[in-house]
Amino acid sequence: MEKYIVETRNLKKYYQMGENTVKALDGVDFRVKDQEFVAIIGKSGSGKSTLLHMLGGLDVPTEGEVLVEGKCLLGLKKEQLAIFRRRKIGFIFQNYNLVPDLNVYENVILPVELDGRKVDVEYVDGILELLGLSEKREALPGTLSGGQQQRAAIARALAAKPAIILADEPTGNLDSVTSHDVLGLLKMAARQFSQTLILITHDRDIAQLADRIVHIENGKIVGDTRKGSDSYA
Amino acid sequence: MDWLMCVMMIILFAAVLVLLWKNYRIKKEAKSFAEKVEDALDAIVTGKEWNLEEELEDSLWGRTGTQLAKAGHVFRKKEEDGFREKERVKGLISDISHQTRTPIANIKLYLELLEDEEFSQNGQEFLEKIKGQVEKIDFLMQSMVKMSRLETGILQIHKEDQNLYETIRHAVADVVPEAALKGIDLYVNCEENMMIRHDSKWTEEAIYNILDNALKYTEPGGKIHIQTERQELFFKISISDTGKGIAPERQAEIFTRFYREPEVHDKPGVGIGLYLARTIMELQKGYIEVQSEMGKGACFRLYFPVNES
Amino acid sequence: MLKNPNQKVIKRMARNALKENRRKTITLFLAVLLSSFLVFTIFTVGDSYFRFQKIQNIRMSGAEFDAIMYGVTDEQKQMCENNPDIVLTGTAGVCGWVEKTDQDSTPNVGLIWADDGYWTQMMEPVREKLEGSYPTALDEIMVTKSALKECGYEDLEVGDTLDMSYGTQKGIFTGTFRISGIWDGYGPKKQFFVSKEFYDQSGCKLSEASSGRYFMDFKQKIMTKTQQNAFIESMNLGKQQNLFFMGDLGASVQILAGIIGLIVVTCLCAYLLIYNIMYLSVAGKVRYYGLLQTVGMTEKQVKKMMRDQMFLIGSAGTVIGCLSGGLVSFFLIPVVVKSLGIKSGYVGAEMIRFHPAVLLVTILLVGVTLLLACQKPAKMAADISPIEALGYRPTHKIVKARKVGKRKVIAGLSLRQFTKDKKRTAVVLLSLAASLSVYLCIVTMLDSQAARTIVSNYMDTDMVITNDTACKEKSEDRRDILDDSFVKSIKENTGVSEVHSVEFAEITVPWEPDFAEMWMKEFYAKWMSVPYSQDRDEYQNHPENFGSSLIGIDEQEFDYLNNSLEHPINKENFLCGKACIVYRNGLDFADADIIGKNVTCALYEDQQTTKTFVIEGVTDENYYTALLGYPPTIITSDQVVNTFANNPIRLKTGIKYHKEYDRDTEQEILSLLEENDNAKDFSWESKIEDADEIEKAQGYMPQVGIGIVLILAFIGIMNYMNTFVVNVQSRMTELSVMESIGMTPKQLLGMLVREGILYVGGAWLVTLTVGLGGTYLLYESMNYRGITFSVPILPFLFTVGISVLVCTMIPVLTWVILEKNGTVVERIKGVE
Repeated sequence: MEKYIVETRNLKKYYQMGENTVKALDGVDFRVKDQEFVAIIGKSGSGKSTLLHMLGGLDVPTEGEVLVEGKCLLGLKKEQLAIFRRRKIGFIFQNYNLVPDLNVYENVILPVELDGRKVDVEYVDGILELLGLSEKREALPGTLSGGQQQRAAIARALAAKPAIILADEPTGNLDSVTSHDVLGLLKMAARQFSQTLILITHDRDIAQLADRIVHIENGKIVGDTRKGSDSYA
Repeated sequence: MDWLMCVMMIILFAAVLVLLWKNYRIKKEAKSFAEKVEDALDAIVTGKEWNLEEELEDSLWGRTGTQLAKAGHVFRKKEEDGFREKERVKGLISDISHQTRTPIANIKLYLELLEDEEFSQNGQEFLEKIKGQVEKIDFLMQSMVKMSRLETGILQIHKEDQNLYETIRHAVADVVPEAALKGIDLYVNCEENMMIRHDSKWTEEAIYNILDNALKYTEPGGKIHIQTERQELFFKISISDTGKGIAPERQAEIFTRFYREPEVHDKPGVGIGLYLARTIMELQKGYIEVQSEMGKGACFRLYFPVNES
Repeated sequence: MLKNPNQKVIKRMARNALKENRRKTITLFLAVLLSSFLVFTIFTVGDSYFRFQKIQNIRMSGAEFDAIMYGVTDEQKQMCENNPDIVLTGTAGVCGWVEKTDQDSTPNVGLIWADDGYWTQMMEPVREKLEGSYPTALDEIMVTKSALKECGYEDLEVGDTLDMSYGTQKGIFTGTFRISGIWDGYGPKKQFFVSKEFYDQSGCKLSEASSGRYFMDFKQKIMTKTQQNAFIESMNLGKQQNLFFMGDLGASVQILAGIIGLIVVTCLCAYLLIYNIMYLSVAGKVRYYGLLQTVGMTEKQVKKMMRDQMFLIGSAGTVIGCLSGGLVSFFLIPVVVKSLGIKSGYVGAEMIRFHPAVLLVTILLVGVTLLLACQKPAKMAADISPIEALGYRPTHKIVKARKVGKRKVIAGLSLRQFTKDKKRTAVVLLSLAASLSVYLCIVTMLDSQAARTIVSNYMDTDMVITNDTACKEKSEDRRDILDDSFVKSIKENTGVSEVHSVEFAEITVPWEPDFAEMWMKEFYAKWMSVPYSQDRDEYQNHPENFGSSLIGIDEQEFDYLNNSLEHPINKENFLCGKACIVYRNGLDFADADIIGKNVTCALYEDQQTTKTFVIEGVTDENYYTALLGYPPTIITSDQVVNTFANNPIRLKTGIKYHKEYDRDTEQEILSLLEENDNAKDFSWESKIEDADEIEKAQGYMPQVGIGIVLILAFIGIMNYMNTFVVNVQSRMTELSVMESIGMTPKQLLGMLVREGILYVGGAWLVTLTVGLGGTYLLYESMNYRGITFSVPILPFLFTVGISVLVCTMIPVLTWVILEKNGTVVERIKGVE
């Protein structure tokens, strides 16, 4: 049996909105192999973000379970989930979610520092350099443009060298050239640190860069195409 | 004020006790931490499966352990990558040798056909030279295939309980004609019944290679002795010649791939025989050694493990 | 398990958060500073008070002891020495007096002997100077400068000699004494300490109550009345022996209770403020805390971050609070301690000392308050689910659909805002109410202090005028200066409602075998050092040498006195002169021993005129005493006295005004007294003067009380202000939307003012129920005179006004300041 780094079983998430029940996820079975690069595409409101939150242990499913490295997230306490996130997961949020009273550099190294680890200064500097944020190290997030905040968020996700990177529209605010550079960076980092990369996008071009494209519609997986294994080319 | 002093003393005393206790705990925990790190490193080094239970604990070990697990994971991935890379290279070599076999066979065929043709003196001479070189290429290719197959484990060593005497006999039988031609005497001094776990086909190859090597470096009129001896842990085959010997500084080198003694460049050979012999011995969990002095001949010894499950 | 050393980033973030939210930080800092200041100051003042009190007690009594016994037998001494509860005992013996010296014919100096326990140990704390040593020889004395001065030999030094004639039980002697030592300090100083030898020769015995003084120092410092009585019982006191305990716990317990009460309220106020600020700050930063958790901050780390913030603020605030508290205490202690009844003669400001335990307790108390206050908000922050951070916009709990009523919209909005977060509202109300309650309490207590505690005048009269001549020994010196015309002129004063006079006539009580014999026997046993048998003949033959007094009182006074009796008597019999009441004079008679017996009295100047009463009542009230003779003082009606005696004298006159504390009437009566020819022979006790005295004694207490109130009020107002600023801030969009759809600024401010009024109304509601209730209880517990409870109306109205003003102005000011942040549209968009 092949081992999956991320696996969901019959994952469901229902919200109560007044009289109506909104089915954000409706029985999703989704498996990701180690070091796979998966792109999830779908319309807004199709449940892709909810799925991503579930994988990162941010949200609790109505039904079903999420397994990461064979461990079921449902049984974990809040405390453990937080540790899980800072050690295993690198999040890149659509709306950046940078901590407003910390500057860019502090934001980037926050997950590492929270874990008490030594910051790999060279590596972080390298990432900031690559993302064009070297000049903005000391800037507070509020003073940055959307694109810069997005890049800071990406740097934060990479800084801790997590096993899994979950990205929600990571290039939503970047121009197409930068988008491709950023994707390249993500792929490169994923290779270097044997990371698994799951990203949500609505950009077909970006999705093409992935090993696998999963299509979500109305809370269900409606398509799953795998490219030929070219990761060692 | 007395009670105040009393309280102070008690607090001080308690503080000292707490500090001592903390010190003790830290020492104990540091030890246990080190042990855990060692266990983890052992597991990573030996490639064993290793589960970190404290992965989601906000403790020092939880943090370091997670990093170690990550490192182990990356190591394994890298190892797998390397392995795959090697496989690819092996495939390449085997493909090359496979693909060159037919053209070489054809060249050989055409050369034989050409021999029937009339050539000038020079033409004849060149033809002979071409023939020699083709033979060499053929031999080289075959050796390389053998080598790569052995190294990559495509060819497996199958060890069985067999009579080593038979194996030696076959190997010696292969060199007898050449020895006779060169006027070298072969002496075999073995028990006739030596049941040892080994792969007879590859062992024969190894012995042959050593004998072949001995013949090569022994002047006509020399002697080659083959002797066996059962020791406590190993079974030993000694093959000694009366050749020119090997300089001590080269003794380690002679087992490497494509090594050739500088003085014998004109003689045929690609320097692969001893390398193969050593590989074969190692794969059988035995080993090979050489003892020599310049001008006094060389003695190669092959050791097979006796008690091996 | 080794801890993960990941605290550094948490500390840094805590510091960062404090820097970012400067307003919150400053408010918290002030809260901690003020509360630790108050707690420290109150504790220091309290500690000083109790210490001063102890020192004063020791110095006033001249030695450190808990109980004193007059007269001690060897047996009792043995008992006390064997008693494990008694740490130390000391004995002293009064054995004579200095009759005269060459320099002074009336030196007022006693001779006393002290044993080692008393002299070296018990007197040690009061001695400030000591030269020489305790006398060992018969003719040696230990003196003080003031005793020497009394004898007219101020300049004598150790080793000098002093000629004096002295008296002991055995008579008057003269002798030359060598001064073996001079000491100085506190306590009775007009004494010469003499040697043991001298005492033994003086003829005094320790077992006599007039000579022996036995001092005991108990292990247990605080003893209940029952314990004290049990001990006294166990000593088997002789007739004349007496045992007194020194400490009176009453006032100390009250002061202690007051200190604890103030500290509890202070901590409560600080708690409420800190809690509310933290609560609001967490509630407004849900996204922030959620965010930190998505990035991997654990619950523990979130809590740690909050606690670190508290620790930083707490340590800075406490240090500065305690420092300033120490500084202020230095000036405050002398003022407050004096007001609490410590006399300046015995302790000085230089004795102020800061007890390390006070610092410790303050830190502990403030620390615990802080910890408790941030506990809940920290938990709240830790409980925020990270998913809330992703799409969070501060929304309030879903409010159930409201009935559409006819209520006015704006009023409804104010009320809804007030009741939306009930907990927060309650916290703010409580915080405001706490300071208002303390204010109410302090003002009421200070205002009524005089009224509650004055117990000076009998029958609660406003003034008692006494005829000082009435008690002169020689009857010819006695004049009836409180005559009818004078009393009449007092009565005619419009401010006077009642006048009660006490008549007095000197009498003798002729010997008879029953009551008179019994009385005299007991009297001699109790009060005299000579046995009754020695004087009995003289009493039988010359009763005129044993004068006593007949007291006449009017009907109202009788009613009052009768009410206070254990066994009330028949009024008819009393008024017509059949029955009388006898003053007990401290004798060991039970009511039953005396009641029913007949007592006969004769006019002093005319022994033949006698009158016999049946004793129906016994009183301990010493208001009705004139000349205290050996025989009993007899109280009867004024009619009886006037008919029986030839020339009775009006002893005293009690005056009651229509209005209590009527200064005008008092003034008129005083001028009447002054205008009288016999002005010099009157003395009077005035309730108003006593009240003024008490008010004077309060010193700066009102100011100190107001200071405490101001600090508490400041904390309460900060709490309120903080709530409102956050409140208005978070409703900025809502308010701006209202403005955009046509609410005029006036209406908007009206709404905010209404909210403020709701708060101030609520706070007063709590104050007037809980606060007033507490004040009432406290009032009653210290109400010795059954004065009706009343709150001073002026300060009350003043505070109501101030509080309404403050509570309505803060929301308005907040809005006015925040409104400047931009146009309506900008403001609507402004909130993220």
